Amino acid sequence: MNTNPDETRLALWLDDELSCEELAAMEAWAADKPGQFAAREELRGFRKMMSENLPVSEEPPYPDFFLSRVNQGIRDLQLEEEKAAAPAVAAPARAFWKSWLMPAAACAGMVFAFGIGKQSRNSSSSLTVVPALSPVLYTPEEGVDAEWISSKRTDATVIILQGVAAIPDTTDFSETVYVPTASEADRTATRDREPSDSSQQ
Amino acid sequence: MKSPLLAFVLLLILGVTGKVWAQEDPGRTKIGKVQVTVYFATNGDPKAAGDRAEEISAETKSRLQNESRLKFSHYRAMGADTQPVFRSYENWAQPLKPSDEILLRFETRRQPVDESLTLDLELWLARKKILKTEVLLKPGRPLYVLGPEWRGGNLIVAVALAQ
Repeated sequence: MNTNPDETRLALWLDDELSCEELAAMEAWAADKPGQFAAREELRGFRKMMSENLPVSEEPPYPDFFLSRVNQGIRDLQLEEEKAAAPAVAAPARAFWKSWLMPAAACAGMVFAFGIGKQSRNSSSSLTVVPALSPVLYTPEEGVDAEWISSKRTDATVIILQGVAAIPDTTDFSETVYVPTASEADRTATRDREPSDSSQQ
Repeated sequence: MKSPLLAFVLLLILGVTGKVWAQEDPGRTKIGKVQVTVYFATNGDPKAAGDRAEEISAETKSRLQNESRLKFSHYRAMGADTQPVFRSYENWAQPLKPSDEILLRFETRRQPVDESLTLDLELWLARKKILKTEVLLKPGRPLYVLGPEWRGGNLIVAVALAQ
């Protein structure tokens, strides 16, 4: 059977916080441990020394504290009265500035903000045409893959599809309704485009 | 005497209502045109494309051959379709009419700038969506898609801005 006390009980015994049966049990346990009694005596001496050198509580200097608060209140009132008296002299000048400077500043601010907004709108349009260097290619069909090439030699964007099912040779496109003329078929090769009339609406 | 006048009035009403309808839906405003052309590219006999397929210009041929992945001995134009790009609606191109073997769905989500258009593109082959991407089309800078094999060659789908 383990009769050794735990740390909490030992600390309470050292601090003389135990009583009755718990105190008797601890005294019995420490009977053959002179070191524990020495430690308790040392702690008792320390507590005694502390109680003799430190007051239990220090009362605040109520009269001095009360008078200092009253004096501070009086000083605050005097400062407020001085501040209230000073603007009364300078008020006409400030009112004059306020009468025209504040509306003018507000108008200037609105014009400035409008200009900034207009410029940002113009500049943002150029950002919208910047494509992703490597655009997202989505191939939902299983087994199909796509490779993107920005071909400088061809001056074109090229996408290579791999894994696409071949069109059966029996499929006949000879009934194609519209076969472009030579000039129309070559339209994708036009490098120097004539200036359009911007009729693309 | 009455019938020409009646026809004129009807045409006037139709014109006014049509204009009003167009004004009511700014999303249908045409902001550009896209031409989709299908080429047959082969190292074999180009006659496999059929008698109606036409040869392409030397410039286009040279341009295609400059890219090694698109380099073939012969090219033939199989068909083309030009369709408008609406401001906020999608549109479809069917370059091999009446066949729907190759279809292209496109729409733009950005304002055109400097005659360039950014398009969301979908390539449909045999009624299946094969590819979806976003591409910036500039005048004179098309998109070439090396597509499926057919009759000993490949079909190349060219997407370009049309005038």
